[in-house]
Amino acid sequence: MNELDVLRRLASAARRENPPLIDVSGRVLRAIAVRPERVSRVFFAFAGACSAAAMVVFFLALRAWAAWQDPVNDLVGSFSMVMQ
Amino acid sequence: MPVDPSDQRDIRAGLQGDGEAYARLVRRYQNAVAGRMWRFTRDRQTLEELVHEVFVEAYVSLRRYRGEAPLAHWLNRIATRVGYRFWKRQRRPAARTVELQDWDAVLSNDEERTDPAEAGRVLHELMGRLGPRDRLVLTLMYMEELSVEQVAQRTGWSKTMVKVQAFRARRKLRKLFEDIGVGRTRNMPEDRP
Repeated sequence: MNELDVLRRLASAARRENPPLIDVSGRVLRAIAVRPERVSRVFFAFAGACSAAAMVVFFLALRAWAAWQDPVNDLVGSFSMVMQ
Repeated sequence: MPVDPSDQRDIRAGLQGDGEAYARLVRRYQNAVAGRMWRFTRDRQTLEELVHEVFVEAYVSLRRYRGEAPLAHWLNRIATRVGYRFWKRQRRPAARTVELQDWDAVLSNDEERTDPAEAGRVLHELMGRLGPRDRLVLTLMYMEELSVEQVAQRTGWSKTMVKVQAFRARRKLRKLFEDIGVGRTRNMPEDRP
């Protein structure tokens, strides 16, 4: 008797087993009733936090890019102000 | 295969927010799903949690059910996914052993007289020593008697991957049987003169 024979034999007997009878309909109903509200609240909080973080990163990146493009711009700006 | 008209009605109503219609679907299929999930756990409380998870996941993706196959087939795919995830979350018992006496007790009986619950328990313990992929492919092929194509549909794997996985799983099973001495039972009915 090889491993597949043993497996087939056990499986064939196990298929005749009756699993315990359960009733989860109430639990499922409760879960799906609270689900959309909870999901949307979490989703909007996450989306809000992401937007705020993205705005901060965007402005920092813009300033860094401007400084990188023209590093003496700030210096010239200050100098021209003094000259005026 | 056509979708059951009462299923169709309850799916439509469930999508429009009728919780009672969805509860009817749950009551109609929960014990069939429990039968599948009983292969993933032998603990009643975990079984209830897994069946619950299957129906919540089914509700969330109910809009994607196209009605091309019976609802039971679609639920089976979700159940397989949920069960596989459960096995992946579980840590494999490193030192748990299946007593050789158990094997003798199960295998020395005539096939018809083998206690289904005992066979299920022993099979579960045995499979628990394999990795989740090996366990899944063997469960689907030998417990559920699915073809390679059906296993591929159920798991979302390619047919080649199913064949390769089944080959590897059988090899590991053979090694496992050698380690625990299964198949060396002397009083098997077919071994008798």
